[in-house]
Amino acid sequence: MEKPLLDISNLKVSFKSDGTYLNALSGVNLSIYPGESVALVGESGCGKSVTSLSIMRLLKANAKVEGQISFNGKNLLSLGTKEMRKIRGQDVSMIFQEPMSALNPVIRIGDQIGEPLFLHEKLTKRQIKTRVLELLRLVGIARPEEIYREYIHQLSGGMRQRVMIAMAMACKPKLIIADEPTTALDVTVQAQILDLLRNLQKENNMALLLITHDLGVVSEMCERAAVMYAGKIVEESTVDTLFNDPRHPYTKGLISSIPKLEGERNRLKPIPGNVPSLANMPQGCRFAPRCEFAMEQCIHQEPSYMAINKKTSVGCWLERGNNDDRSTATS
Amino acid sequence: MAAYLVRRILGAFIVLIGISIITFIIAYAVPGDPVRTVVGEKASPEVVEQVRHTMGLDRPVYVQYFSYLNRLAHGDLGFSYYNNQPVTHLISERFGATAVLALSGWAVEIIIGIPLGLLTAVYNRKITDYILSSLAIIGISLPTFWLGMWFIYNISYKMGILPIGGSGDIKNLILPSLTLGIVGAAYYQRLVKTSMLEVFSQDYIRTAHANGASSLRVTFRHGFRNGVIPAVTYAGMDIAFLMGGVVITETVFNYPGIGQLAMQSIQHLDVPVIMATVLLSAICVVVMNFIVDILYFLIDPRISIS
Repeated sequence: MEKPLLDISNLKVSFKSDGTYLNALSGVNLSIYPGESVALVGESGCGKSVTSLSIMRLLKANAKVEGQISFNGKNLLSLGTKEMRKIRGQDVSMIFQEPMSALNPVIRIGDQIGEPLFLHEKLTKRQIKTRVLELLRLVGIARPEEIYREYIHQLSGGMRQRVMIAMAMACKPKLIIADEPTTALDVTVQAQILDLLRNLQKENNMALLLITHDLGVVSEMCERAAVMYAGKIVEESTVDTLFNDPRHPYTKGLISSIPKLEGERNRLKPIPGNVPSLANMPQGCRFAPRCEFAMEQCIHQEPSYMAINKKTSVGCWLERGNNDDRSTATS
Repeated sequence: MAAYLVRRILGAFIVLIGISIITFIIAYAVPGDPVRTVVGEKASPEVVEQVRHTMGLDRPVYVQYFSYLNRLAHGDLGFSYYNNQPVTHLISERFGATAVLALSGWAVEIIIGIPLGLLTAVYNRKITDYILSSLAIIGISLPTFWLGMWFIYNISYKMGILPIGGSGDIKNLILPSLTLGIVGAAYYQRLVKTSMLEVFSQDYIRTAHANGASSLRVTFRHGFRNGVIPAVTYAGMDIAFLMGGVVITETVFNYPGIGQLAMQSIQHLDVPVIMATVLLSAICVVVMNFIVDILYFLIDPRISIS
């Protein structure tokens, strides 16, 4: 099998607050292969965005990051500032949730999209402009010449996110991290933006890490998905398997809380309780207090995260009981 | 655009009328007799009354005010009681000197204050920040008259490098503008630091980093324009105040500007000069307000002119 493009192993992130460290991520493992699209799913506060920002090394100064994030064979966490800058925007780029605040209000759109080109590719001003206009056309913006000279506040929400995507695409990165790219948009525009993102990803054979809380988006966009809960990945599988045969009670809960359009209609089943706070993590399985299948063991001991077959890895005592002979997942 | 201009000019006019009324009433209500300024302490009561009558000061205050406005409309600011010269002459003689001092003091403030603000924001909570911010606090706490006298004593008197006071040469400007600038720079430092820190926490700064920009580029290309906006407002108001006369600095350095004139006119209850200097300050503020609004429009594309 080919080597993963991005390989996160045992990533731990904690934030210093009032003299103590609060763990936001406690041992995240995730791999993404070239050209593959992977979703990272979970409720707000589960550590999805922290994971994405640690890949880019864009966490605030009060964050302590441990573990390994290797990209193309290099450990990003041990790179110097200058080398890291070369990777940002060129090899890995990011699409943020709120284009309105993530784009600079006082710099013309053309100049913002041209920024990664200016930083990473030795091009003349004229060449940059030509490329930017191409990018604007690529993301489906009509009148690129006019938009080039405009400012972000003059555009609609969908257009803004198209601009964000054009900027992320500028240097043809190997990996795009999209952090809730459509959350700020209304539903019709959402579909258009997802289409655009998927087409560009396929055409350019880029890997995509899509961060979302929306399982509908996952099923449309991705091949694989990892479900996060309280700073850990609890289940990872291909999207088909995940939807048809979810193993972890949390994943099951997430899926049964989506309204269905077809078939028998039952009442939606919410997951009882709340996400535990960083300062007050349960000792054993983090989901145990909310889990209807929780056993004595779940409360005292944390389950290890294991591959239960070729496609699926899961961290749950229930699966452990069923698959005693399996070996611990390596990645 | 035309409607906007008309609205602004009309507004400015109302503000100026208001200020002239208030100043006139205050000058009238203050204890002391301007007639004594003209005739001297030893003049007989008959002479005082006669002069009061010829000057029209025995009329009701509103009549005096309207007659003042009437003359003002014809470009006549009246005669100084104390200097016995046309006020227009006094003002025009001194406004140039004040403008030069104001501009150079202002330049010193900005040249010191804005880079200091940037540095302390970039090195927030590091040793550079602590040292420079402490210096700024010292700067902000220095009384202008003390700093001015310190300069005069040490640099002019003891070292004999620069003149003690007066005007007319670049050398005369250095100490007064440093005095103004050092005290004023601290405000710019605080303002720019706070607003740059705010800007650094914005999402678009993270985006700039995500694109691979260096910290230097992030600070100047992506942050500075957003961070400098509050300083522009302050700078506009600041130059307006300075233009209206820097009373203490001009007095300490015996600098013949509007501030010194205003000081004298208040001491002698020289009403026409008081009115003129106050109105001049007000006009400066109104005009600068307008310029600042235009500058906003140029710096921040989100703001539309009307």
